[in-house]
Amino acid sequence: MTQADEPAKVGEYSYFSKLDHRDGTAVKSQWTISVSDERASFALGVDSGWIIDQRAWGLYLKDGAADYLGKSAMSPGPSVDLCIAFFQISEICHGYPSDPKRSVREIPPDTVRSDWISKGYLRSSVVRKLARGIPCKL
Amino acid sequence: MQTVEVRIPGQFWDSFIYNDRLYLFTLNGDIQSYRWDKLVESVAISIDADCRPLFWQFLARGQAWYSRELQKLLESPKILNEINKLTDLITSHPHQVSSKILKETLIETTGSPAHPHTDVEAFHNTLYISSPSGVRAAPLSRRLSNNFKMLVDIPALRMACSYGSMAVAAGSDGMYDQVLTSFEDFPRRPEPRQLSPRNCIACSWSSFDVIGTAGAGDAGFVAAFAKPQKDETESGLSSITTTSRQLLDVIGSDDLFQASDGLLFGADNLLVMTSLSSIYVDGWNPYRRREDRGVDLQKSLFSKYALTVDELTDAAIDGAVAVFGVAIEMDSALLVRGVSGDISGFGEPVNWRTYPRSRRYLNQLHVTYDDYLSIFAFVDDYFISDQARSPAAASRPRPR
Repeated sequence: MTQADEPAKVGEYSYFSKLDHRDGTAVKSQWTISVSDERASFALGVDSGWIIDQRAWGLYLKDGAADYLGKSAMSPGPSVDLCIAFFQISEICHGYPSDPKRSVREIPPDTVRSDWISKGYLRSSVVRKLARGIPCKL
Repeated sequence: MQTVEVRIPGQFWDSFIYNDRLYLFTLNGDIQSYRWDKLVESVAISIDADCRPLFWQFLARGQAWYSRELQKLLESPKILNEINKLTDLITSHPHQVSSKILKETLIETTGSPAHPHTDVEAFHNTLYISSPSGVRAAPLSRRLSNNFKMLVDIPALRMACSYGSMAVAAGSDGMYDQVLTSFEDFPRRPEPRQLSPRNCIACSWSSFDVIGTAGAGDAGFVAAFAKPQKDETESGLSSITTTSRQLLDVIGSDDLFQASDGLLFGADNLLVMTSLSSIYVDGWNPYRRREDRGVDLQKSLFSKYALTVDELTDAAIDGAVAVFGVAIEMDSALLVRGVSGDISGFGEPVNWRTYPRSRRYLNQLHVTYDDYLSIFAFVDDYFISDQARSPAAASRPRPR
């Protein structure tokens, strides 16, 4: 795997940013936030307990609410703005902007979505659409 | 467009109505069950006594005014005039439900097994709640508390039941079909069957076929089945040994509407395809299928219309067909094109739903907002002639 930075410690995990989610690879979703913000998104997921089995979810918070953090893959299009990060937990963790249309497994579980609503990170209407695999605007 | 609106203040995730019970799903994860008929009666006390029977019928017995007997009364200009006046009074403002009425009509409060769920459905006195982890079920013959059991663990973004089966939209995993058996058989059940591997974000029934809604760029498809032995009203729960219905084929929207860049959905005898500023509707009657002709598209499709909807300025993300018209959700608004062709706009909802299979609540639209729930009962369809009625609506119930 090609990486965009050296693995960094995030809590008990090692995390690195994968290059193919930053270099315009057409079949991969692309981060639009910096590598340090990507790591912060992972740290937020870890600190908040948004981890189930070997999967974790993260958000990019701006003024206490989630903001866009990436774009869906150009191929197959259309490319749309994404606001959820999906992480795979392993010896060295990595993640990418999650497109619920591409994989239903990346839709956050009930406990995570419930936490996002109660903390006011995402509006309820947005959470409903995301849980149904519908790309939506913030 | 005339609607009776009942407003319930509070922070809700969703609502559902079935067999005299209103279920409110609160934002903190509870399910509150209410006696709906009594709630409507209690709200009606605050309105003019002359309006109360109509108010109750519109909200609690949606099918009543489709009966031959009541339609016959409307042939009298004098009676029609009086009914119209009373209807104008009832529909002139929202009717607020007080906390006192809510308290008096509350049956129970229990924790949801899957908050915030993706969908709710009821079929033959069983309540189903879906989430990306699967579908849970509880019998409605008892109290809901602690009675939910996992029916199927495929990811469920939406679900819809009819003809003894549940169609499950499983996103990138496609669309599934689950034969529904008695709750007593749990945890034994027939295995779910994948009907299509194509992306599916919602599902609906058109007659005995199932429509898979896929979303922008793929629109959707129809899973077409062989004609059933029984009609929908006779098709209850199946036995544990029931074999799945025979799937004839899966037909893409490009074969149905020669387009795939929109949203496909439907109900009853209608397919709807959206595009910017317009919708296309086509009658769908698979009972006309000829033997040994497979899906027999030529016979199943029977009346195509293109209708302009200028307000449809963004891509449709969800839709539903009801007896009162077609509801289409865009990212920031919900539109309803009514039976007279009027368009009503609603602000971005937290949730919304219609009840295409219901008799009592077939005219209802529930729209959940951040601080309240609005329950709309549409009444135009009782008073419009067949000739003036829009083709973009489910057919009226047959008089019984």
